[in-house]
Amino acid sequence: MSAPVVDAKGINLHLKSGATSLHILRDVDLTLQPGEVTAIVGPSGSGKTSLLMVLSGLEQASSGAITVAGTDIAKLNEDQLAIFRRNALGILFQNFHLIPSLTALENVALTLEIAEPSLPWAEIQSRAAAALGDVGLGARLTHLPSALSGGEQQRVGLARAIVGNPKLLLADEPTGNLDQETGAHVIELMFGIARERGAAILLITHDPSLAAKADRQLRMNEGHLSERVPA
Amino acid sequence: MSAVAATLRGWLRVALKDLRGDLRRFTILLACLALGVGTITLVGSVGAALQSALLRDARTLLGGDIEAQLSYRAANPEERQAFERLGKLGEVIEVMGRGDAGDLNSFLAIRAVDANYPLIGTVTVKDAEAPLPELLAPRGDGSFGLVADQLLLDRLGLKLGDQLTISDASFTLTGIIGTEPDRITAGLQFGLPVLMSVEALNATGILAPGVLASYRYKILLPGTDPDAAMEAIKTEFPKAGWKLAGPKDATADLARFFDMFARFLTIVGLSSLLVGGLGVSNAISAYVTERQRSIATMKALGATGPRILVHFLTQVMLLTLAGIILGLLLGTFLTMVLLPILGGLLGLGLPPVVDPVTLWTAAGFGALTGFAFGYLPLRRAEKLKPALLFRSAGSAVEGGLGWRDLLKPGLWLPLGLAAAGIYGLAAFTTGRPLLVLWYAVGIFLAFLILRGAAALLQRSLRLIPPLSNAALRNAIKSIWRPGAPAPVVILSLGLGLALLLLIALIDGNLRHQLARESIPNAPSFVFMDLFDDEVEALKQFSVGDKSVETFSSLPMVTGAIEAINDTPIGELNRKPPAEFAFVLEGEIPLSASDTLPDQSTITEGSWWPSGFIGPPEVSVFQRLKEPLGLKLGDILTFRIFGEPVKVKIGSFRDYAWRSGSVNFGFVLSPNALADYPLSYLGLLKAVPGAEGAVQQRLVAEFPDLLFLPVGEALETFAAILANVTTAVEVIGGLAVVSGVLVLAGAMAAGRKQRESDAVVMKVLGATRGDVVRAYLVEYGLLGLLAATLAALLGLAGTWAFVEFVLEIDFWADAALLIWVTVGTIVLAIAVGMLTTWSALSTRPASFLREE
Repeated sequence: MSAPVVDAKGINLHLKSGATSLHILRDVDLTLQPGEVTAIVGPSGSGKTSLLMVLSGLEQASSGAITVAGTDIAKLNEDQLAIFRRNALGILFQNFHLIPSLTALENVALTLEIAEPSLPWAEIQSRAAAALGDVGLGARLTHLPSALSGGEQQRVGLARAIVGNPKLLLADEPTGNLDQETGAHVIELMFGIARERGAAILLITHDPSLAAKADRQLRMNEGHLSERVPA
Repeated sequence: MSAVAATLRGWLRVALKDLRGDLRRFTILLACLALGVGTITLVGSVGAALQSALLRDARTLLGGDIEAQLSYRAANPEERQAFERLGKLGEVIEVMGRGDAGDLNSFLAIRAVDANYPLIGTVTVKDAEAPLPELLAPRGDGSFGLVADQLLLDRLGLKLGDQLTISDASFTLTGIIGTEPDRITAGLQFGLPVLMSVEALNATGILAPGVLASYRYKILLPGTDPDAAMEAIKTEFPKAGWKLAGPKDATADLARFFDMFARFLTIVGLSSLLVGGLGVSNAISAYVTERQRSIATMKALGATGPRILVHFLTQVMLLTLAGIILGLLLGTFLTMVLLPILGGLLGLGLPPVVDPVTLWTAAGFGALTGFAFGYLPLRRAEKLKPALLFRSAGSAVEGGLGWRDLLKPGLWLPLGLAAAGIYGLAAFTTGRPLLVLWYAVGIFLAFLILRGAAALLQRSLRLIPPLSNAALRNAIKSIWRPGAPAPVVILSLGLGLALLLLIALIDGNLRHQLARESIPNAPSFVFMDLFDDEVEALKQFSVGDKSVETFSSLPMVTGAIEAINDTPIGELNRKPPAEFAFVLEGEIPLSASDTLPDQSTITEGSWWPSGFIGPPEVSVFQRLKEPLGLKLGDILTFRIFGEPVKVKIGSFRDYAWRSGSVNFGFVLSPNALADYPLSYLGLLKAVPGAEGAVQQRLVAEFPDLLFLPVGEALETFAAILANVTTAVEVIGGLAVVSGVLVLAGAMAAGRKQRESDAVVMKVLGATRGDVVRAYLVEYGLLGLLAATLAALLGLAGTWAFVEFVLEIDFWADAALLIWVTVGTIVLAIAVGMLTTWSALSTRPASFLREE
């Protein structure tokens, strides 16, 4: 068996809120294999998003060891973390977070421009266009986000997340702002592309039917992560 | 192509693409920079033009390489021969006269010139083709040619070819004066200018012995050094009393005036730059706040901090470049328009040329300002945490810089370099490194005070227990809540306003200083050399004429200071500043009085008792004390009617110049002058509007009496000053516009937050009135604090500048302060409301959908 994409052991996260300290993540262990799709469900405030932030290096764990795509991210500084993200991660947000002044193509191209700035523009363009083609938006390259529907915006977000061929795709409630049908379509696309490319996916969702499509389901409750036995 | 170049090109490409879209959000940034750069271009070009005009035209303005001047008498044959030995000689006699045409008459400022006039430059005569000597030559009918000011023709109802008489001679109008190269150095003149030949002046009989005339001999040297030539005249005629001037001396007064003007302009330029910088900083701050989600997204995609910094710095510098280009265009346009106007007002040739060095320095200032003021907010962008993407936080500003960040070289080094660059450039362009340094220190202190005051306000408001009035409670809370725009508003508004006040107050002080002569209660006519019986007759005339407000007379005699404490003034080791040099350089008017003159107050010592018979004393005008290095008890020796008169300084006295009475530098105790025949100075003030009629009646009743129409001359002078100060105000006005823009920018910085606050308040059931009231209180409070602090800072800055840089008396315009302060509060509220208006007028639903 190949090395896991994520290997996290004994993660704790404390956050200060005024004078009190909140214990957000409690001794979380998590291993994700390449090509494996894992869904985490759980109530609001249980720590799902915090786990995602810790895994992406956006939040520093208070204790525990985290290796993502072979990198011990606890040892990285801010800029090294940025480089780690551009090389290993793809992130999909609930609110899409497309840059409003850039077209669909440019939004996707941005990932490549940041990751490989010396790449010729023509190549960046063709790779970005291909990624958009993969999500079915080959005809909407020059549209600004404001001219796209929610589902289309999230598909641009997906193309942006996968264009750099990440080893790990993190998705935070990616369908939270979409209707059920559109959401299901985006999820299918995401799973298909990830499996095809051998990327691991960590999906956070409230929707049990989406979670059911994952290879593995985990449950987060008050900072504890546990296996969830599908109903 | 190297990988680095490709990378940089890639970064530039992304930055450019990201700049697309609604460029209106950069309006304030562009306008602030453009106004700052434009003002500096204008200020620099005006300063350079004035400088070069003085340098270029100094000889022309003097009318020769040197000028020897004497009052009361013409050069004798030996003197004239000596002048002619030095070079080509030109003679100009200036005297006052009166022109009569039928029942109408007017006072004239006569300049009689010889055939060589002008030695340098040209006189332009309107409506005439012939050269000047021909125009001034005798006509066939026994009259002389006269070239006059257009106003004289208007006043006497004459046209070219008509005749008028001046004393014993008759003249035919042959032309209208256009420009005279050396007019600006002739000084304040009473009456309307006319040009005639020396021969014609002699024919009028005006030049009787004792008449106050100025005889100027201008000499064009064949390459000799002016100083050597002046020294030669001094050596050959040590006792003749020639007042000698070289080109530098001729323009010394002007240079001093321009220098004062230039220092003021320096402050205007620096202030507009700084105010513009504040605007840039606020605009970039607002931009970063607006873009924080995009920044976070880029970081989440793997962009490093430096990458983000370069991205936004590229954008800021591109915008700065656009602002600079706009500013240079604006400055060039204003310079082209203003210079000829200013030149016309000052009687100087100021061609509409923009100084190329100024263009470069203005661009340099713009670039450094854009960088220095954009850098801090950009560092904030660099520090922004991408984690905010996972939270649905409001639009509050994230990732503020702590004081620890300020210690990092990566932060202070570029800022320090930019600040040093700005300082160096300012010191270089103004040539006044110390002034710029003090200015910078003042600004830094003002910055600390405003920041401190804002923090203090926030802290103390937080301590206030919740009030029962909801609007007040919310307003107070919105000033101290985290991320509140209060510190930015107080800093921008306070500093911007303090700078505006500085400019307005200094302008007021300058005008106040320059307009000293335009006294509201100034006499309309001044009579010189009156005898006792003439004083009596004029008193009778004044009592009987309802158009006369007042008539007063003062004894007057002229004398020169010969020695101070028995040391001849030539051997004194101290030299008074140039503007007071005249006191020691020749005869000055002296007066005598038994009682303390009206409107005067003793500042030191005491006034002599009535009928004083002790050793003669003198009371000296306070303002002369320091420049001449005088103290109580000093003995002054005056030469009066050829005899030395020793007097002891018994007191110093100040004088309310606005009162309109005449002030003598030296007032002697009457016993000092008991042995000398005194003449009197008469002051007559006519009812406003009746000056012309009174003049005609005075001429009819006292045909032989010569008097000066002071009121008219002062009005003309005041009008010129008003024009000059208007030009100054136009330049100062640019800084005012920047200030308002900056305020708008500061307000815009918190707009998003206010919009969402307002929407939430409306959703929760607040009416527009409730929202408006809350903002009214919030911005009223902020405006009040900022305006009060700004008024104090502006006053302090003005005092320091006026006292130490301009070295004139400080004067604060209370009305201006009050108006500006009240205006600021209103403006703060208005701009605050305006930027919130969109929130008040949008329906909550549409705003929430966008969120």
